[in-house]
Amino acid sequence: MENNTLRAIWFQAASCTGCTISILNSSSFKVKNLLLDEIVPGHQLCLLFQPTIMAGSGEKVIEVLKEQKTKKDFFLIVEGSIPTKDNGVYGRVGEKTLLEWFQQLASASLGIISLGTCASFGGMFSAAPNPAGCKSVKQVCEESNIEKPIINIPGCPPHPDWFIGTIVHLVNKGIPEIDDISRPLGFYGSLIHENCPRRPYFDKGKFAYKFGEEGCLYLLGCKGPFTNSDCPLRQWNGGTNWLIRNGAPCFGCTEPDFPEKMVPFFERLKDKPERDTQ
Amino acid sequence: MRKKILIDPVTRIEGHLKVELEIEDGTVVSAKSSGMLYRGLEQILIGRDPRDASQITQRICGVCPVAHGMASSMCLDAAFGISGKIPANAWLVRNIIHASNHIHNSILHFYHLALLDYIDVAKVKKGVSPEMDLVVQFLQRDEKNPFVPRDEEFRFPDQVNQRMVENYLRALDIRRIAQETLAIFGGKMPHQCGIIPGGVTQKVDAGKIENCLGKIKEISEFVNFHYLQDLMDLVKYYPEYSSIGKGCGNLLAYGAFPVPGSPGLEKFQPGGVYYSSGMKVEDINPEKITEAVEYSWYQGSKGHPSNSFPQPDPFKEESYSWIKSPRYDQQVFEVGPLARVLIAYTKNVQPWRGALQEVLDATGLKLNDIISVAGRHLCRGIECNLLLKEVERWLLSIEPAGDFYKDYEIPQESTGLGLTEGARGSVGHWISIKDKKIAHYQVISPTTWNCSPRDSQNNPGPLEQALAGLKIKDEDHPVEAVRIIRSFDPCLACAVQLKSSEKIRAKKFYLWM
Repeated sequence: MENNTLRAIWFQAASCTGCTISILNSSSFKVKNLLLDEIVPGHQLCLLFQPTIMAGSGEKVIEVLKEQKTKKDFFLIVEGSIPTKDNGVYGRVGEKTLLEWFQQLASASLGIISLGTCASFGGMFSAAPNPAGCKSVKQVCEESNIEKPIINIPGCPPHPDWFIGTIVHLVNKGIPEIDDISRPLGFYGSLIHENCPRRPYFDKGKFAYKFGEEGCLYLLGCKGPFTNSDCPLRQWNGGTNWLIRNGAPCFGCTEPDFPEKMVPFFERLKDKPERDTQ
Repeated sequence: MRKKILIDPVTRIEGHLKVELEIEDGTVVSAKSSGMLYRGLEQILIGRDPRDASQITQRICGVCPVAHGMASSMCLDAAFGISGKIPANAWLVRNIIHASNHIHNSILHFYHLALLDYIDVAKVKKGVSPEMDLVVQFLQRDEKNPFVPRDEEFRFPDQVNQRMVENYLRALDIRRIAQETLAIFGGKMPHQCGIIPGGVTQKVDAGKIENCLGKIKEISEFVNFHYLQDLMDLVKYYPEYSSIGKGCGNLLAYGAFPVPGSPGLEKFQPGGVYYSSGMKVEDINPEKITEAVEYSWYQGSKGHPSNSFPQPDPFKEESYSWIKSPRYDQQVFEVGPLARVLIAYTKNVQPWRGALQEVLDATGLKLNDIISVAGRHLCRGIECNLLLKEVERWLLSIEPAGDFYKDYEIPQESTGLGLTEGARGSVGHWISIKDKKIAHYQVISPTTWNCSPRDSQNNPGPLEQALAGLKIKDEDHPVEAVRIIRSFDPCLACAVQLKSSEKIRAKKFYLWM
């Protein structure tokens, strides 16, 4: 890394901007420090391109992308899945398809962070019948013969700590230890069910049958037994709350099976869904 | 000589927007607004469990997911026949979740999406506050992205500029706190889980009420002391923005925040239709909403959202947008905070009328000046402030021992309609259920109204009309145009949806608004 700066292009494809908003919600690590300060002593993050917060627009910012394509010393952060149907005509920016931009930027990058479940595994917009042919970063890279290190940080949205924690690790120690589907083990290493505060209810067979009732939420559709993340320990929005504490079932959003094999969201899932070839 | 200016992408909005301006002698003679991404979420909904819609439709937009969760849940309440049976507590909690998303969005929009068009970050000085020292230190970097490149046309005096830059950074924390306020009842943000058909997922205890009150107070301090003042300064130092970017002048709002216990569940924020011609407000009739696709990349039928089924066709000639053109009574309408506040004012509904009057008196603006770039910003601030006060009232009205949820059966066949307001304007969801599954789902979002392309009568959409006639000083830096565009707070992810399903003509749509 030149000048101790991690340079990154944040590319939004078929997304809802929820990943961006979630990262802006970071509470332990403040956004102002992420943008303006060193992230660890002697190292800083430079967001060369981030569509939701960047100052410029139009041709000037397209120039930034063009210039970086030749410099080739940036990481690519991808938010959203890539529309590929009919050569990607369903998504365009700066007179090019998102697919073309992605292929060019990915090829020129040092490595890719797939931020959110859409970029990691296809996510919501790739659900049947997948109208725009949306695919994950890994899938498009494989089909386009692009070989780059990829870290997946799934979640709909991903927790800000999962993203910033990974960035800090990257700068400090390099690529973190990941599981078989490229998720950092530090954040995705255990099932929600293993750490769930309602687990004693499950073990005793006390289930909620209606919203607002005490008990394990399994019969109301909780996918905690099939979902890897540290939500029960970390909690959300600065430790304010999280789904199960709020009486809502886990929807399984950090898994490759989200949403397709996690629906109906409010019906119980009997067995661990079999994974499609990822 | 005619020439074209292309702004692609328009940044600091949600999603992928392209704007094309045709210029003659420095004046915009015609504008085209294009939504550049299609995802087809409504198509994805077909055949699924109706309850999933309240989660899936939130993924339309991560900035304003709650409005979709709310519209969807209201739409499902109606389809399940329980609209009138939602417990009062559930309405209060739904309202708090919903309003917190508006509050978050107002602050995000003004400080982080819009303000960089007006403040000069490079002018701040050292030694004023730790935040400003951080900025000064940042400015010594070789690469100052993402705060460069930028357009430059800045007018605030140094002191005001400095305060605004500080507030940009402070507001990062305040909008985060607004998301935390929401998460107390919604579980997490973005994509909350608190609002479900039938009510809300969790009872509320005294601890949650206390926790939320504390956060609301912290946000209110900032809004009262800084946000409202910063808006006044925007009006003062950029005076022509109170008269440009006016657009179509017709305004529409469905209304939002039902007040439990009131006759007919009256809304805290009233709906209505404001015609620029007569400056009068009429009641809204959802049957008069139609969608045109002449200039959108779709083929097929058009008409009322409950029974139209256009299919995407990215190669259709003459078309220039994935956004369709919703119209009311065959006319072009703008939606959003401006529409909501002005409609409430015209209907003489408090506290809205008093709040707008106060701003008019303080700024010296006339009522007609409110339909403008500055007016959109002012109304967003007025709304944010009033909602903060109302959230406190809703909170203290909750009866922790009462019900928060009403159980239901999914009917074999039914239809439903949910109309409410998102931060950016009116949101409508239409559903048909057949064999307990979704047979048809249709969403019309705020930006679909505001950034729509031309319709069958060739009438440009509200944003296109707001740009027409604009004088552009420097064609390489069309800062006037981007200021107008951003005043609408466009959300493209919301704007582009698609309806498609087996053809069902809904017999009757249960109205829930």
